[in-house]
Amino acid sequence: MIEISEYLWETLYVLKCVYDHDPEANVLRLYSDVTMDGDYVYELAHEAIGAFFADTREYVNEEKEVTAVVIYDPIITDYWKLCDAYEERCGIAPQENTYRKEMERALQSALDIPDYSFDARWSADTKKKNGCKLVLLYSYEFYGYYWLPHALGETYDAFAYQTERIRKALAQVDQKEAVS
Amino acid sequence: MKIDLEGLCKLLRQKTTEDTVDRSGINPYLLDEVLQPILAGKELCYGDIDYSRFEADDLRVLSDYCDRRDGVAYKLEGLIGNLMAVPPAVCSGRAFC
Repeated sequence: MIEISEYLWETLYVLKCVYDHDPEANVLRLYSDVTMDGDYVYELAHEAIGAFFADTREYVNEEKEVTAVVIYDPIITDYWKLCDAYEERCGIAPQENTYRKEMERALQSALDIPDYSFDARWSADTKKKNGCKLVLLYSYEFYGYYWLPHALGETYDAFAYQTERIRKALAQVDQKEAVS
Repeated sequence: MKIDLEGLCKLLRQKTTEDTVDRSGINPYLLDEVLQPILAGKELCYGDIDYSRFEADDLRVLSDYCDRRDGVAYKLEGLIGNLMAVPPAVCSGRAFC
């Protein structure tokens, strides 16, 4: 009787998340000739982290045994810039901007990985160069790698969805101003 | 413990082949074109998989099915172990003339 490790299905889960985001992703090509094996789950998930956003950089602090993954992407920067524009046009403070709050809630939900050694932060500082970013932090005890591709896919989708919404809202503000 | 092997064989012959673990809800592509070849000993590559033919959540259903299947196999192995542990005994009646 052949017993199949659950990790085998997790490797497929990771690649499926990547495929759903981008069927042409490099990691899919990289592993296409590799025989399916559950032992690849961490390696694959680690490779897959870079498949969702334009610029993903990893920094390892060996002394503190902490890894930081810093993610930049035009979709992130553009969204927070659209938030700035919306606040300016409507004359409201960032705290009053529902689109900003909704995005923060979406990020909290997407990056809510049930592992005590994981944390996610983000910065929406449009004034600084590279001020808009996502930061994933995890220690050497982190075993939730295979959740990351799904979480990052959800995060990207949240930015795409909210970008469309705030663009529409800005267009409505323009229309109202044109009428008045 | 005594086991009537002749009776056991007769009962086993009467049994029809059927799935011991419910397969309903499993994505047919994953079941027939991924799981079955693996169980048959075939080595599949990640490039052999058609990712458009299943949803990510289907993998959880498949994984649960495999867990339940392994559980049944584990119980069966236990039963086989119990049967093998029974010491053979001579028949009390005459088996041939």
